[in-house]
Amino acid sequence: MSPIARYPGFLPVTILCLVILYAPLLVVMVYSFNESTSITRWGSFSLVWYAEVFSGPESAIFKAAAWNSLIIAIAAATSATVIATSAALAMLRAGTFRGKTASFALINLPLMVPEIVTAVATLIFFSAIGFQRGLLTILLAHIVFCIPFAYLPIAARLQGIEAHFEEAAMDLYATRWQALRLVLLPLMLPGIMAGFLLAFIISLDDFIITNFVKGAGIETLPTAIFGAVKQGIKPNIMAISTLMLLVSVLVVTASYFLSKLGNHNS
Amino acid sequence: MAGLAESGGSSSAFAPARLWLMLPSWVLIGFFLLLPVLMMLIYSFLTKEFRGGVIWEFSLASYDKFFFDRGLFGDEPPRIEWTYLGIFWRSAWQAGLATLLCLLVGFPTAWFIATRPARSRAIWLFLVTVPYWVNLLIRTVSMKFMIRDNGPVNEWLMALGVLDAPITMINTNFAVQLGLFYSYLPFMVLPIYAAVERYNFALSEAAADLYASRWQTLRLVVLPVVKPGIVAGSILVFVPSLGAFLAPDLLGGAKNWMIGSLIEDQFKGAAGNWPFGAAVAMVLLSIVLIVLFLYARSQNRVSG
Amino acid sequence: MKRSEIAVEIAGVDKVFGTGPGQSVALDNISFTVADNEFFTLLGPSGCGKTTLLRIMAGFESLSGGDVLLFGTRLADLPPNKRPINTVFQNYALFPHLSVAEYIGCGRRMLGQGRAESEARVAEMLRLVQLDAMAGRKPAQLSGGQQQRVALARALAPAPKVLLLDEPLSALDLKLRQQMRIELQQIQEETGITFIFVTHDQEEAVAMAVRSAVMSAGRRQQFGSAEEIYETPRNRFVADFIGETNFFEAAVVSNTGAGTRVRIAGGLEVDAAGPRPDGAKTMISIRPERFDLGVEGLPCTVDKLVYLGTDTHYHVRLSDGTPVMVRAQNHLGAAHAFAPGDSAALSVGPGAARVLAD
Repeated sequence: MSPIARYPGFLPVTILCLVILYAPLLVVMVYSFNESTSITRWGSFSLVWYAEVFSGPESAIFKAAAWNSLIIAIAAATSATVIATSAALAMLRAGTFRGKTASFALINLPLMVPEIVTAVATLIFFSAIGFQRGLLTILLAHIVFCIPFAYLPIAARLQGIEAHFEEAAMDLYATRWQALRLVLLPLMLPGIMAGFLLAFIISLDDFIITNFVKGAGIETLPTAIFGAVKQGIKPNIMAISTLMLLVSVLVVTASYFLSKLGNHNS
Repeated sequence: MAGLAESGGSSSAFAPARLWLMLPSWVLIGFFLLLPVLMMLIYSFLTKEFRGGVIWEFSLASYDKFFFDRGLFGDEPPRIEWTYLGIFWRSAWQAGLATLLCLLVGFPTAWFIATRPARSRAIWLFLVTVPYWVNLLIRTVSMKFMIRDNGPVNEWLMALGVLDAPITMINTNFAVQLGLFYSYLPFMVLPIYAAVERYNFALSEAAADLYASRWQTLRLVVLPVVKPGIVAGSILVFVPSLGAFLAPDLLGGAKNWMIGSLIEDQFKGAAGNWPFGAAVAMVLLSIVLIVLFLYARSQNRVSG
Repeated sequence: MKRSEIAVEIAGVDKVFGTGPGQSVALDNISFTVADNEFFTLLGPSGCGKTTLLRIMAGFESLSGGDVLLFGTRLADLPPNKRPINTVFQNYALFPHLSVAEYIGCGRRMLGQGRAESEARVAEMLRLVQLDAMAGRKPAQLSGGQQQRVALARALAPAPKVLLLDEPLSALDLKLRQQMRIELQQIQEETGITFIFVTHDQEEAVAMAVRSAVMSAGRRQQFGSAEEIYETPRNRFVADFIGETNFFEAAVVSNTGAGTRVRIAGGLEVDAAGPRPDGAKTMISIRPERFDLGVEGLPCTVDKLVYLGTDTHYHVRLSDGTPVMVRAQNHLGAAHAFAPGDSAALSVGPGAARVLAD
């Protein structure tokens, strides 16, 4: 790199950027191991708040919320991944067709509509058709806004696979579906996995839409945490936050390495 | 970014099955997003029922309430109602400042990362992206924890002798901007990074060759050439900031409402006015779609 | 040559990239001088360090050792934007957001000149490169040849003391390239600016330059006029890189008085010019056109011939199997004297053989 491209002061700004991004998360992680009941004073290292999360008086609420979050995230991510894979095949491996541009816009619509608008619209819709709000309404809403997140890595991966792979398979007398199953899907797998993991995280993270479409008494982790935070930040919230944070980082790291793996293959 | 996946792929092996392949996306997004948005549009023209719900009677009351003080249909001449326009104005202002803040930090960061050697570049980029995938609620709560009156930031500043007594940061406009900035900073870095990575550094050399200093080069050559990335990043920060709910709710408190808080209050909060909430959401959606439309048109002009 | 006539002096320049075990030497003790008002070429295969040397002159790379002097002034401490040197970049480096006129005027404006003055200069430059009609266009609306002219005009506009050209013609097709060579020479004569022209194309270098420096593997191989470099190559690399030639292992017959007499394969004895060889063996070079293919001389067999319009290349084989390339000019109406499989004889005129130092 030519020295022309170096700007003095850009390194400090980058460091500042990372400090701003990480400092709050690290502080919360550290304080989650604080023995003291007061969140302002540091006592000593302790796992007492993690014990509280799993067996304290609020543990039942959080456990139920965690189950709901997990079930919804797995179901929503799986459905969104299947739908996105099928859409990617249609968009990239089925030539041009009428309504292709509109279809592309439709797939990306959940990214363009502000989350709070999606939340309001979905609530109104379910209420207007008299659909009982509960886990199913959350799930349906999650599938919809997870589709574009699953679509992006899958389509990117499929685009990197040259057409002659499935053409070669069909040249060897494979049917279209055999070509898909035996050639294309295995090649697409890293992208599909990355798409699933992103959709999973997006579903697990969602607060606003869930908050609108959840039925009374049904909580996911974010809505349960939000409810608890309204009463003030307690140390057990920091312990839950730390656990969720670790799950997110693990899943994103896995997705990152999966997509790298895919790049090396092609 | 999104346009990348639209074209390409020369095979049409699955052309006969394309309807079946597209059908699930059409049905799900059409039925559970497009239709609901249309429903919301209809709701915004209905009459409110006490504590949520609607009466199926056409009414302009919601938009009237939003824009006019004494009512368009009253005896006295209507006057502009500033309460809600004020909230929109403040939201735009807050989102704009947050976008500017993200740009000031995000551009140097993106540039710095894009000029690293390829190996370390991936690591820097990963470091910037990871926080985005951490739950937004948790990030906002963490920020609330950091900047509260007796929180770590005040303690550090006092320990360093910068402050004598803690300053109030929570429940201020500053806290909201900080929260928005913190929430969406990676959205600014990534598109600018993509633009800088494509940037031909010979252009900077050509500028230096023409007697431009480093900073003149930045202003006269680099910024105009990577502008598409800057514009994309600004939109990706501005649009979600405009409709944000968590940052104003948790960090801004009751006095620093933004559009998101106003909408939420109509459905989940005390106001309970669904048609009005739908109308506010419609206005927000219209603004966002206009911004996106203008952006798409400028992109087409650049490429066409 | 008087000191004041020297525009650029490259004095023992070293350039090392990287540090430790991974380092690579790009330039190794390069020295030469370029006279004022000269059209000078830096010639060498890709990777020989010529572009690195150019970038050091322009200020885009730092020196690891040695010095670069511009009219006697050290350049090392000046950043690129303070050097009265301009570059025509290989891929032109046109600013996509500026029009042709804006781009050409850019340097003048940076130097703090008034609008009127810089506009006059832009008009002058546009005339010089025959792009008057294109002033308002953006780079994307120009052809490759037009882009090349804009890059040239924008580098000339600030009236630099030295113009560096980094393979500026390599992206153009043959016809355009030949036309641009002539134009570049005319512009150099008109403006009187010292041109340092980097190329890997030996034909281009020979056609354009008054003097050249030939580089290979970070070292200067030879420095001199095109004719000197072609006719008296110092070593095997130069002889091979500039034009075509035949190399022969030769036994020294006599090494006294007027010159060196050597014997090559097939028993041919020739007088060879150049440095005196130390031992009994040496390497000599004989250009294909210095051979005569006829009926008298060293017997050989014609393997193959390639008709090339102005001349014909014969691939012949000596009686001991040594392949030799011969080039004969074609004369109007004369059929090829030989066909593949024919027996013929080779002879060499005086001064054709050249002893190579290494």
